[in-house]
Amino acid sequence: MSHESEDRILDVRDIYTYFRTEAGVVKALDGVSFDIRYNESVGVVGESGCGKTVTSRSILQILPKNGEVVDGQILYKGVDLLALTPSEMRTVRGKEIALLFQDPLSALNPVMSIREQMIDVIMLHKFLTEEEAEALAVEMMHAVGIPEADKRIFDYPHQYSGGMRQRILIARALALQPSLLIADEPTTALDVTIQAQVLDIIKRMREEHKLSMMLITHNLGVVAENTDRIHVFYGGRVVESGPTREIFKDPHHPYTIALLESIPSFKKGKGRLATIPGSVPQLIDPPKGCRFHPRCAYVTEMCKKRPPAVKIKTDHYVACHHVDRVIKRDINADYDPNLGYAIDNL
Amino acid sequence: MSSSEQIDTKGDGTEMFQQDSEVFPGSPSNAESMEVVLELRNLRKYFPIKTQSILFSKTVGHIKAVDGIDLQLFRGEVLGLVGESGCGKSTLSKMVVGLEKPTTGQVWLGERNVHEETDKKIKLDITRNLQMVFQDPYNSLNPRRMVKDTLMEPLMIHQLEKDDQYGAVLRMLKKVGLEDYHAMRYPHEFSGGQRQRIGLARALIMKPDVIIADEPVSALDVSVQASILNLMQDLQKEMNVSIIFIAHDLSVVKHVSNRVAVMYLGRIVEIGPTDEVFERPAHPYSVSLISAIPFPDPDIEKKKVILTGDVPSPIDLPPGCRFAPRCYKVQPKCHEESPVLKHIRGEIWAACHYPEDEEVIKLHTVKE
Repeated sequence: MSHESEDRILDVRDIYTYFRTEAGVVKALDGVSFDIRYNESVGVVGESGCGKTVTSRSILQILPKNGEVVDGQILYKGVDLLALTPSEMRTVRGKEIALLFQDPLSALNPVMSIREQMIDVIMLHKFLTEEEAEALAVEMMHAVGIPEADKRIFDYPHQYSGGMRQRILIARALALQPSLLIADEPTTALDVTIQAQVLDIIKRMREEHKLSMMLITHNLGVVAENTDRIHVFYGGRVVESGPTREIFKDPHHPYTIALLESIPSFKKGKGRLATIPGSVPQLIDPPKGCRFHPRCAYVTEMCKKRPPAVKIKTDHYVACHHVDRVIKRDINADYDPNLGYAIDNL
Repeated sequence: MSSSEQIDTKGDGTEMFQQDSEVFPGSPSNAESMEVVLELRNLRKYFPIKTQSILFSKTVGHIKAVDGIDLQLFRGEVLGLVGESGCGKSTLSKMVVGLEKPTTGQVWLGERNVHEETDKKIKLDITRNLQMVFQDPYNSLNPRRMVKDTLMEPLMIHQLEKDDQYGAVLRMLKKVGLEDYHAMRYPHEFSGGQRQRIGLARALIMKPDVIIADEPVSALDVSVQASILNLMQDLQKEMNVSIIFIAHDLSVVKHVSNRVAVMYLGRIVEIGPTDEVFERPAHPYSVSLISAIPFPDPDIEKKKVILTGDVPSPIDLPPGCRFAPRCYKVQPKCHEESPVLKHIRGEIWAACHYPEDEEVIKLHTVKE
């Protein structure tokens, strides 16, 4: 990939994150590279255990004790975050890069009022008096659509509904005017109508605050509607990355194609869905070479070597040895087992 | 349909079903030609809210989890039940299988009343015919039992396949895509998708008339979800079983079901054939619910109807339409009079005073 870094807010270069466990070393991220540009919304997609969340935690260096980024560079605005001291890193978290969690209830302290939790964070990073911090907190809560914010700020987390809590977290994250927002499955715990509300607020706030965003999710619909570019993760690696429209219309990696064909969609009929044989790889002893090869229909001897990222078009990269052999099809058409991407079994 | 005779012989006729000419609310126009396997009549479940003083507890109100549901399920159909959390989907399913006693109303399995039957033999037969598949494949299997024991127990209780129960277990495992040697394993040795196959086998081994599947795929990853959905569809056709499929993922419901019922705060607000409801919904709640589904296609421009506010608590419900406080086309009448399920157009039934017109509703357009 090219190396002009001026237009990139975040440039993750070849990072390896390992966890030491009793069963052995879990290679959660195994050479992950991707980037996020200024004012861009980037989606990170993949199934559970593919390294999405570990990526966000590696960037902010909030990994559990047994985890460590063993190699690589994470360049944020040109500065390598991995080279910073812990106290320097504390000024980055929250102020520069904000994180939005999946479960809004466990991200809030149940025995502290919303006011305390909001102004604590604001006063830690900004030189404001308590009154000014509270005014800012109310203003932000108002901006995310919480009615009577000046009264409700004294309430406790349990007095809010799930969607409201997620709004409070958005308000708290954006009060510090960060440049990058990492949203880790922000709407997974919410109902569809509430999900639409929250995504609408995030979109509006992104435009107002000129935010870049990394949206981690397994919901392909959410990604299609809210991102400019996508990185598809599989088994701790990026298998395909490109503009959102291209990934959906012209996917090249066998895994991306299978993933898109396996979701029931509005346009599809009631026919069978494509399935991927086998299961997600164990990262203690992952398959050699391409991590998808035991489940892939195009597998050859060559796949036991690690595939390079092949450039398809501008911005569109695919990590596969057999890009020219992979059959491309309309993902919205009904799945036809005869054209078969994969063997339809367990 | 013989519902009026049934009620007469039992002598507990609800007025609504006295006449044969009356069309059952929400049922398709060709209902006469189909066999009704399950019928819910004016089903309600109220949970009391109690305050506790030192000596006495006092009921201060009721949570109306399910509030008057009429529904018919026909042989061999898959009925999708959708709605947001807290709308009563799970309470309804528990009442249908007999795990929860309704406050009022009846559940009829063919000609047998699920909750009022006293004959032990018939009761046993009812439980055989109403099976459930649970959401969480990790907690719904006994971790200390081998798969064969889990699957064999219902056969022993119901005295089925007496000559070769183990053989029946193995045949069932094969049907759901597992191997013979899996019978001797414990649940922890399986992946989530395989466990859900075992859950499915446990329900199907009874050869039931009706299966209630409460969010059967929501705990699974998409690629695994696809294989379970394929399997459910195949087995449903093969065994001609009727399924009530509960899910919050509307694209999954769209994929598997023939008919769909939309629930809001304990009531069915819209019911009709899946394609018709998803393409031209009549109730404003269905419109906003369906428009809120994110679309995995960047070329589709969607008109989103974003609802304000949250689902109100089912404790102190306003008079009139329950959706009125969040509705985008609310009128004074909506606050006064509660709408009942009525025929709107085509095969669609909705409970709304001002349903959407077919021409007006076009939820998505392809971008230029």
